[in-house]
Amino acid sequence: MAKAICTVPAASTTKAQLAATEATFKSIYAEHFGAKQNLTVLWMRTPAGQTFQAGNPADIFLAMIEVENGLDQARREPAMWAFTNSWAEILGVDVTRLMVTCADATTVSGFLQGNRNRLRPASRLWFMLTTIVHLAQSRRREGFATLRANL
Amino acid sequence: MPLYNLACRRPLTAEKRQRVAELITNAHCEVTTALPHYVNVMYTDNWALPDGIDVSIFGGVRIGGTRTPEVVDKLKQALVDATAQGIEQPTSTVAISTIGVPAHWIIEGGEVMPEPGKEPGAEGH
Repeated sequence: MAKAICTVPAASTTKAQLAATEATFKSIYAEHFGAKQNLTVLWMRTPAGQTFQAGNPADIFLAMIEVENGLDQARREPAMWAFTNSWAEILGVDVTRLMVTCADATTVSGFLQGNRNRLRPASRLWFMLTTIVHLAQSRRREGFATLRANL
Repeated sequence: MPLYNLACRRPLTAEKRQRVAELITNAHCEVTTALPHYVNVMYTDNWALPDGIDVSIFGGVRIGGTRTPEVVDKLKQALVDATAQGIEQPTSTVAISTIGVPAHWIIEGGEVMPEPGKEPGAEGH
């Protein structure tokens, strides 16, 4: 199952916006890549004071969306624009505020593995288990699968 | 892009976060000639990092164009130096790894990102 990892500021993104984003992203994914293609959206809600742009405190909106390896740019780019334009509308921000990437599956896996490998080896299994538990708990409590901004 | 995710053993002070973000932005732009507006820095705290490491940088950076292996190596060293300066610790306490993303996979600033070196205002553009 493909993943979308979305990073948004916790304080200024509402649950309604998260829900609308999740539904829209799943719809766009199916439209562009086939109705049988499911997308799982994982959220990273960043606390205030932990994100910077150009060296200054700033809200950051990022979406990394997994696509099949080697996807042709003629299919990739229209999907990128569809995600970007829809997300800007939902969030009520200009498209220039967003960073959206449709990345090959191997790159997304490399991203997740590279992130995890920063931990000391003895802590990696613990990290994976607690991440899975947190994803499940947050989905049950809030309706969204949420990654921890801080451990 | 770039996005530099800094995993910290303990939370840095607000002042150090600001300082490190400024230094990382300057280092990235000096080495790559990219525009500061595209340099994103994110902090995440309370990581069980390997012994002796206080901050671990994981960077998502564009690849291709002028971004040769030599430039990437130079960039990594500059980022380690900048972060160490910002946290006022030796460079040995800062780890770094990166993952490359082709520019044409990314929309940022309302446009599909240009290859490294082909940004408006970049030398040779």
